[in-house]
Amino acid sequence: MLVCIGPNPAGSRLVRAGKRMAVSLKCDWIVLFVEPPAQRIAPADRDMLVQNLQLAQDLGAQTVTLSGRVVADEVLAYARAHNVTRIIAGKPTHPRWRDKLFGSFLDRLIRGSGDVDVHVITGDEDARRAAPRHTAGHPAALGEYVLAALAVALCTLVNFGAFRYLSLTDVAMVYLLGVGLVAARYSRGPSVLASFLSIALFDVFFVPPRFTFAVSDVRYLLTFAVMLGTALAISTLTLRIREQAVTARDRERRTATLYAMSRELAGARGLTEIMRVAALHLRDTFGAAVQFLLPDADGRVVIPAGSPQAFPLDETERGVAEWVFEHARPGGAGTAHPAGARAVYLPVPASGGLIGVVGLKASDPARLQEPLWRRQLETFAAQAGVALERAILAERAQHEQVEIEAERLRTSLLSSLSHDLRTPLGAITGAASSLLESPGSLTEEGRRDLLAMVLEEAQRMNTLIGNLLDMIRVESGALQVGKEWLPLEEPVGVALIRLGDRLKDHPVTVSLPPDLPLVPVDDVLLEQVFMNLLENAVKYTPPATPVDITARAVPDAVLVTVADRGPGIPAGEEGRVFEKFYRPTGVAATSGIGLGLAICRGIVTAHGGRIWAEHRPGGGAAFHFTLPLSGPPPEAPPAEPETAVGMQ
Amino acid sequence: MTTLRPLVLLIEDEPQMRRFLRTALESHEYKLVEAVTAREGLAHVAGRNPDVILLDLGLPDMDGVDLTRQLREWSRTPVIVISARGREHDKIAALDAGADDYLTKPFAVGELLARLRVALRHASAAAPGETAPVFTVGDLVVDRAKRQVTVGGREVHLTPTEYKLLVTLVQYAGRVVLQRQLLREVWGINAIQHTHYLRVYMAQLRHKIEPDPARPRWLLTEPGVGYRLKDE
Repeated sequence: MLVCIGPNPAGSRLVRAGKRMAVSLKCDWIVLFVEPPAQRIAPADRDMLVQNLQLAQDLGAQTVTLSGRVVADEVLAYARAHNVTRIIAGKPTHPRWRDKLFGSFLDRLIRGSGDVDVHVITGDEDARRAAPRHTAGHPAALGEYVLAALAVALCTLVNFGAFRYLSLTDVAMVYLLGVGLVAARYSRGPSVLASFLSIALFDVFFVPPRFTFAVSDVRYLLTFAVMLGTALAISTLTLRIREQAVTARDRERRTATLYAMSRELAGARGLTEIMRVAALHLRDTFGAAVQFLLPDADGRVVIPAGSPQAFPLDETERGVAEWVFEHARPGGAGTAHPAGARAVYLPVPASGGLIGVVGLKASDPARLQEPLWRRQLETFAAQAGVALERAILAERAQHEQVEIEAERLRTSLLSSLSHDLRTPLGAITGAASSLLESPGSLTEEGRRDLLAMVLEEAQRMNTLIGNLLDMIRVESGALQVGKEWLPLEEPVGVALIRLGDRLKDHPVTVSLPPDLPLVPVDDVLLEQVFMNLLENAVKYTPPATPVDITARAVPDAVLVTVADRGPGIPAGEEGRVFEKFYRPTGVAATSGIGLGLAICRGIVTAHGGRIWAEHRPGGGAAFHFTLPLSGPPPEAPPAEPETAVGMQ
Repeated sequence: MTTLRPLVLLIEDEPQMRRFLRTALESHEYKLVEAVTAREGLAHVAGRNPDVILLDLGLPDMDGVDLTRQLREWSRTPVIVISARGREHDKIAALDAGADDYLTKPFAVGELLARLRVALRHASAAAPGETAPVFTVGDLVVDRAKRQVTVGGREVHLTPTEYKLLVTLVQYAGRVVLQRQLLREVWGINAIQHTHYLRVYMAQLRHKIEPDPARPRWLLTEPGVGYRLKDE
């Protein structure tokens, strides 16, 4: 069921009647208002309309505002589109002649209704008359009348000058052109003035006898009538086209702002960004401070974390926002419901129900209640809702993806660990048990061999566990970087000495320029980076191939390179080598669980540097990392004379 | 040394470590007293007067660092701390509290024996610094009487600071010396924050006396803790 209301007091009666009928028929009902284009509604009428629409909502109706020139056609189109079976409209309160002149809404509605029942209900007898309407876009200024008169005068001048070349018909045409131009520029009043003035001047200056109002032939009177009719028709049509153009432009502008927001929302990533973009567009379009409120874990709408507060929210405002979220209806300033708030709150809908609330705090809150604005505001809110829902779903999906990834890592870690810890343990157990159980049958050489193996495997397990602990520290963010300015040579030296025998098959050359600046690093962590890179080189390159450590100063950093002459990194896997549990494809399994380089990345990153791997020109792999020279370099140690000790 | 076989007090709560150390030390001419808790350990220090103490930092009843501090109030017996890798601040705290050296788990027996020898040698000298005027390790000879440093018989020219740094390390030869201690003894109390002084001078010193400064043989870095001059 559809109830059509206008901006007058009869509306409330219509709404109540609609409610009664809807209840008795047990059907859904819609209250519709069709707003004529380019027609300003007087403030008092606007308030009335808002009240009526609010009343309808309170009584459980769905309210719709449409815009269209021919009200009856809009109503019928809407009714057809929404399967409406009954339409309720008010009895006309205006004089009959208006219907004759401008066409009757009811007449048109009833004739076009087809199989839809139309009920016509009385409006209140003591209804206050609707305030007079300005049919033009704005009241015509005096200047416009003057300009219209000037335009006609100009036409007269042109005609006067060219009269001897023109017939009377041409003269009339020039006047009609003038009237058309006036109608195209100005409102109805000046157009009508121009029409009449044209006739008058045409008569006086050109129709014989000239320079009098007298007419020599009765036929001219017909000419005047036709001319007047044509002039009025031209001006009316032109004005209507202009009105439509204004409406179209308004609609276009609204569509454009909505489109601009949609487009920007489509490009926005993340909840905070989407809220920022939506708030920006809402603010620009509606001239209000905009605040989105989303439900927290307890289902209470709050300002989401990371989003700036657009206007202060006290207890009242919060209460209204919560009411709006709970009842899924607009509330706050300018609405009848929860009073006291200074901002208006709208529910933000999404496909799965309400997603939150948007609050708008405008200097003129009533304006936001105007049907046209309100409708647009709802459209904006819906757009924002869809975008927000998308972001929330994406976040949830990403969270789940992370969970899955973490689960995969855990599984992979467990299988790696059980394999990599058991292998050395197996060797140790085996060697130790043979030493214990068959002391007689072992040669001295065999015994030493087994013992060496026990030691080696135990050391391997120690490295492995150390790496695991380091990784945990890197991952858990517990990595504490205690930076000190030191020469790079020192951590390199420590790493070389600690690796000791493990480097015996690989000549390592260290070439650090003597003027290399001190670097601000954590010596223990940096030494770990060198150890891991060197161990990595030893693991993946054949014996006797060299490993080269070089470094050079680059702007604001020191670039360190550890390069080998091994088989190099498989093409396309240069980035993946730093991933946890990475092992190169197509290479026989070696000891280690693929954490060394991941730890390097963690440590270098914690120093503010970058680590990457690439193919080394001439063959092999090259690992580069940067150590930023952050902060002011330390003052040099006090200078001292180069006096040789022992010479005195 | 008080007896022919020095007495080692082992304060360690893990039975496996005690078992390993017992076997290792007794087969190398050391006598051993074992304590499982700090309280028991302190009682043994007073009662048995050990020559050197091996102290595990993770004890059930008291923090090893606190124990060292308490011990130092009345005993000068050398303390060698045993701790796990990656706990540099624990090591520094223990050394600050008065421990003489540390060992990182897991360690080899050779390492343990070397630390014990150094500790016993320093304990037998009446005070640090009162060692023989000539210090020799490998090719490196530091003659404090002549203020002369030679490597492989060739004299090395050092600046006064470099020399002071080297001599300080010689005083504690074989033992770890905290960065802070070196800074205080070489540059004075006001330079304690300037760790880079030490690092720069250590690099210079290595370039002058080490055959390959990138792989130091004698002037060793103890990462995060300090430096150690090898003595054997």
